[in-house]
Amino acid sequence: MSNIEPAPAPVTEPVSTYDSITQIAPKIERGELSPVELVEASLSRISQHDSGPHGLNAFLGVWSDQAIADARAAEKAISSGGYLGPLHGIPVGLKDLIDVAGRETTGGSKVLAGNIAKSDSRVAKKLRAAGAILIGKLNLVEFAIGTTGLNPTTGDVKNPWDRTHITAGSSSGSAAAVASGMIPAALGTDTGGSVRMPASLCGISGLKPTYGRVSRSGVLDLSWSMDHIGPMTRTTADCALMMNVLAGHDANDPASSHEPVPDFTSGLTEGLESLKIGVPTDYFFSDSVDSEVLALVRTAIDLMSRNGAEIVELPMPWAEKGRAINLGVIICEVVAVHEKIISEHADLYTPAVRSRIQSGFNVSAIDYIRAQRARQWFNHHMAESMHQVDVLITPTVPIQTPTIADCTPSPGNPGGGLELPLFTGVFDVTGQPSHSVPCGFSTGGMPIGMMITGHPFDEVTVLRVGNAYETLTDWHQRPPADIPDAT
Amino acid sequence: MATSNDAQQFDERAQENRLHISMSDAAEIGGFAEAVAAAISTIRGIDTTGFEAAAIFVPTPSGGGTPKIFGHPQERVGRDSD
Repeated sequence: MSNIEPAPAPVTEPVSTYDSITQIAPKIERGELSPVELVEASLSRISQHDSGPHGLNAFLGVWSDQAIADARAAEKAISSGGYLGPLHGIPVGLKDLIDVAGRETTGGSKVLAGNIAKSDSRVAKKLRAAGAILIGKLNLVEFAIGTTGLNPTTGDVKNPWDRTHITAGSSSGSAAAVASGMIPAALGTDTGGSVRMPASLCGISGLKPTYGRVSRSGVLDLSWSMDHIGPMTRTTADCALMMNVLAGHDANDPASSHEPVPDFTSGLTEGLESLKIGVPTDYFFSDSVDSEVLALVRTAIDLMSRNGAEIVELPMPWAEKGRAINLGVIICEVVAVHEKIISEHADLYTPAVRSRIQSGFNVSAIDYIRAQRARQWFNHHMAESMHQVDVLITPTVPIQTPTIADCTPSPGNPGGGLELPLFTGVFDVTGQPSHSVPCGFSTGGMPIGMMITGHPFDEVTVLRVGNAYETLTDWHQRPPADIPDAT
Repeated sequence: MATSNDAQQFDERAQENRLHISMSDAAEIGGFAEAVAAAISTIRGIDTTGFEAAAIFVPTPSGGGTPKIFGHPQERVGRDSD
């Protein structure tokens, strides 16, 4: 962790930063909770748990002075009748691919050290306009090119549930910061599953909206035809509140959609009645998926069935090709993004990420075209299956959470984690909205996530299902067992 | 230039160019390269006849409309497959 301004002295009666935005916001609106208290509690918790040899290492930079100044301004505005809505006074962290004016955007890489953003990204601007307090930048895999959450340059992010385990990535810091109660909400990005995988492994909610729904203007590219920005929060309802601020057309993002923006909270209380939930009969539920993961997701599906949802079994044998298409597109586009920089500053990349990028140089233009055609083929099949249902339910990740040691390569061992995006990457190919919610714990005590995927631009139904499930369960309300002091 | 120890020479030149990688990095790089090769092989095995991503070439009116980069996720582009 670096570039962290001194935190204030711990508050005498800490505010529970494990509370959701849905719980906190009414207290702020009524004047029962000051944004200053809330931000100080966040800063105190970050100071206590993020740094030091046993710290989570979620933050790359914390803007204590500015955050408190902004919180004071929010407090003043609210007390004067100027309440802006549910994000007013809420501290939010941003993955360090996202520009904030006057702050460094490094992508977690030495390559961009000292790269000060001249202006806010669109999402930062929207968060500010909604009164959110931008509290700092969050750790990630270098340039988001990787899935384990490990980064030799900025230091590995540790899973709040067990610090010997990975968070997954690439939005590793975002997940750890929310899961550990440092902040109630963060932004991540998702190109192969980088919002949903860490959400799953850290026991929080993470939404990848429909491609084009949230502007990527002012955010570093990984693979432009599949990059998404999404909220990571304690609950599904909080994701909906974040989406109400983040969504909308932006002429500065060529892929930004003109689709009408709904009230993303509008379906939250409608329950599961009359909904058709598709359950793939293969791939996502094959014998190669971890048995505990399968059992927990099937139990969740049974629960939803008993509460009004109709279950529709869907053969989707073609889905097994989804991650290959995802990777085939990413690896070519990432070369196009980095070609010039890597030719000039190859030594500044970590060797593994440099080599991941360089592996794309060996892929031909013909294969990139094949991958994009395969994407059309894949989307056609997905549309046919989705025609029969409202949402799909699958595991988010096919394996249990690996340890950091498992994922650290050694001679003769390439390191684990390549299986992590096998399911999430499918929905980056199609661009559908896809949401991970906690659905239980492994016998080893690590969170396991379930993925809810809907029709393009129908986040409302995805969030409806997520919230209905959370109403029936309490997995999302369980914070990690006592997080030891980081000293 | 041939030397009696090519591996050492390679290592020295890599370090001179600040491109030194550890054995651990090499192991990870090998694993990722295999994953990419497998992905490309899978893609080559898909019959994508009729699934050209034509939408990226379709002009949109000036001053309005969403450029259809790869089309809507559900939007079919191309001919029916067999």
